[in-house]
Amino acid sequence: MNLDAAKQTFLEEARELLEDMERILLDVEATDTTDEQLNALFRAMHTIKGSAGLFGMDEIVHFTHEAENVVDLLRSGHLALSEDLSGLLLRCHDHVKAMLAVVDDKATQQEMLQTSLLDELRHYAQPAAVDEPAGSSQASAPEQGGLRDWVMSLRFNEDVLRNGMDPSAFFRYLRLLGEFLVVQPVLCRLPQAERFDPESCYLRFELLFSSDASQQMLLDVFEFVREDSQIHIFPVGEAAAHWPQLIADADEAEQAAVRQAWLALGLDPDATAEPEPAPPAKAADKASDKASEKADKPATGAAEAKPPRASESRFIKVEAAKLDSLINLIGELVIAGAAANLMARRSAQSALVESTIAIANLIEQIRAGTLSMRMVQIGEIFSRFPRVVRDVSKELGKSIQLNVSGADTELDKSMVDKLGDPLMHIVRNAMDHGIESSEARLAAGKPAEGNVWLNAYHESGSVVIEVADDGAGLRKDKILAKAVANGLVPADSVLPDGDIYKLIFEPGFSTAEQVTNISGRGVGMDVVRRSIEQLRGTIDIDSAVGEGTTFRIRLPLTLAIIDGFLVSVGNATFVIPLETVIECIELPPDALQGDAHNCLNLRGEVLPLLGLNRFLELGQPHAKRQNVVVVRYGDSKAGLVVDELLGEFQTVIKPLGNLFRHLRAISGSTILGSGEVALILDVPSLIHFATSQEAERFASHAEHAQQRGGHGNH
Amino acid sequence: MAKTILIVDDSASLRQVVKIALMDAGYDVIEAGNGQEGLQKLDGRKIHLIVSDVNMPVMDGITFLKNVKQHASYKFTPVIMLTTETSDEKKKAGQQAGAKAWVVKPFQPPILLSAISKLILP
Amino acid sequence: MSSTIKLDEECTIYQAAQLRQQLADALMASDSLTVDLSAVGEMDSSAAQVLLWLHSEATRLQKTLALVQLSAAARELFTMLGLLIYLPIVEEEAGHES
Repeated sequence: MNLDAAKQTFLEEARELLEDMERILLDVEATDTTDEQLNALFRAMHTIKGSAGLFGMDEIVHFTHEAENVVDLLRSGHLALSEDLSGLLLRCHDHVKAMLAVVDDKATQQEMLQTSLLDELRHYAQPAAVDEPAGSSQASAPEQGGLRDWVMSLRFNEDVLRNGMDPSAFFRYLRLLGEFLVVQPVLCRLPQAERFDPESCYLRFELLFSSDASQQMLLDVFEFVREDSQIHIFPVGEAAAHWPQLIADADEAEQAAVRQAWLALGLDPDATAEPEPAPPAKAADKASDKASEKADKPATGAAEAKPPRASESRFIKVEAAKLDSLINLIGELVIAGAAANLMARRSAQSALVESTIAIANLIEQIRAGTLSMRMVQIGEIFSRFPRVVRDVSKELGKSIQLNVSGADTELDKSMVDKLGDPLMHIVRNAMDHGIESSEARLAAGKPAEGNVWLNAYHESGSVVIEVADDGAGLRKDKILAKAVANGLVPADSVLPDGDIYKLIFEPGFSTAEQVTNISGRGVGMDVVRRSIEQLRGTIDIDSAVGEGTTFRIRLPLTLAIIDGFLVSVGNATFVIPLETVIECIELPPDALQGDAHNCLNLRGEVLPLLGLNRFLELGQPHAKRQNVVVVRYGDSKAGLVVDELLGEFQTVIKPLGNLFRHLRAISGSTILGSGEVALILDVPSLIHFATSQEAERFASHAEHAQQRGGHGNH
Repeated sequence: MAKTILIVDDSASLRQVVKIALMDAGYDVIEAGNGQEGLQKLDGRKIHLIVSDVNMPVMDGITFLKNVKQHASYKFTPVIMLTTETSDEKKKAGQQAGAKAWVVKPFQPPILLSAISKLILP
Repeated sequence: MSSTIKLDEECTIYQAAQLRQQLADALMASDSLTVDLSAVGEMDSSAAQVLLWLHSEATRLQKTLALVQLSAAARELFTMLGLLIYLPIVEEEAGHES
């Protein structure tokens, strides 16, 4: 452990505190402030100030001190968190963040103190008029007054011992500053018999002390007891002059005792103002038996302190690669466990089977636990949007309210990192192009304030993130016209709504008549789509003219291990991700009419079927009885026709080699417990295939009925 | 044997810096991140002095101090509270709870060290 | 009748109440009490104060009190606080060699 490491800790800590601060400031705009929130605001500035001081970052101390004053007034109820003030605090947040970014550059930090923010803060802090500047003035160098003799009158309060303050400790500390000449205890207050309370302090001292420390430094030794006790320290020459003041609070008995003590010290309490520097009584008094004092110097303070215990905190930061390799190993463990279980079953020894099942349970728990370590709340990304919405709506002169829900939805950390930018783009787009100006909204009979919703939830093994607005909605005709003009689609195309909307993801597409500097920066929605697809996700758009638009991003939960459902077609084995499986039914004998795809009437619903044997060109003879696995992805369903249902199986996704990257129907491979390789089916693309084939066929039938024409350009 | 100091503060970096300074000076140091953790660390071991922040999550310094003062083995242990000059009310509450020693944040390690030395030397 | 009490290693505010009781009881039970301070390793003002009180009690009750075999820690404290002449310390010849 060294100071550099501590500094890193500080920067990390400050970053987290600032994040909290921002989150609260943006949150409280909508709701009432709670004490807890105000406390946390205070703590952010307070803690950063406190720690920055330790590292000598005086500029940050200075700035956070001013901010802390204001937040303290908020906390105590002397100020209310107006919109103006929360705006100011947000800008302070930015400023502190910026200062922390250049923490090693003193000059820049100094410059950064020349900010009007400080004046604004002081304006708020004025009522309280806290004037003491932050800083460590106490650290000033001792005034070199030269070696002097001091009179100390130490009349401790009875409570000092109970408060953990031991008079002898102050004596020990004084020894570091100088030398005791004569110590004269005053014992007159010590009660007799039962009235003596051993936890009260009755000891008082009058003494002569020789030191080159200043009066203030000597008084500071008693800083923790001065308030309740009577501590007086004067140069020997001035002592007599202060006698009346010094003795004012004492009763008669004590006055007499102190007077007696002074006489023993060679001082004359009655020699008013007459400087009579009594030569300090020969230090030959038994009381300062130096030899023994020296011999008795405490043998402590040896530098061999024990090594520090590791600092304990609630979080450990782990390198992502370590976690990845752990997850990989657990994947192997899952496979090995499955193999062991298979062997055990074959051996038909029930005890062995039992124990492999127990192991499998544990592995499952480890697996879930390890995977959850990678999972983070999506709130981590969502939290930056209130700020963006606030700033951008100001910039655009629109009034827009952001509504966040499902921030606690978890997803894989690696995805969180890559989701920020696309989401940001969609949100900016919604604000810029989606939400109309206040006038236009009022004219359309809508409230002047527009809304943007951010929502996240889990649905059948996917994470769904929605960005919705109550703006003008997408104009299909405009989009289509633009697409035609740009040559993206033929002039006479007839496309389903969803496909028209998706045209805005085409490279170089932009419908806004006015390109603002918010979202018209040349980065198009095509980049958004590409980022999402890289995460094995999809993006859909719903829109209604005049009501608004919803972007729906669907992402896989994790990239590493899935619960699979094992099926066989002929002698090949496939894995279907279990979360996509809705149900399994037996294939009615007459359902497949030799064609690879067909439909099934599933309780009144038309279910497109896809015969895997045919579709994957396996060329296997038909099994006598076939089954349909009904799978779902998003809103689409399809039935996959397979031979045998083999049950659930936990499986580790092994990515396919580059050679097979282009395969759309297969998303990966895995190794079964038996050592066999099984391919993992890519359900979204299979469903897409089944439904689009079905739609095409339906369309071609319809066209066939009317006229001969080209296929849809899908 | 070196004297043991318990430092209770929610800032890990502050604890680290203070710990380095105190250990260099010859004290043993144990740490806690808030009052509740602080109480857990008082598990019968000998502690010669406690340094505690006031404003902390979970359990603040004043509540912590009140608990320490109830504890037979620690009620006379000197406590230095870390505070800001802006919180007079807190200071009053702390004094009522039995905190007599205060060090104003922010401070440089030598300031705290000298405050501690007045109450216990290493 | 005389008796001797040997103080423990730790004599601080935490033991003050108990120390006072123990010493008061011992003083009541005998005419002459000897307190052995050889084991004292840690001593604070409160313990010194109990001994000062014990001394005044002994005087009041006309009993004999002797503090013997001062450990280094005890001697250092008494010296520093200027208490050596206020306590009935008896330097024993025998104790010199130890």
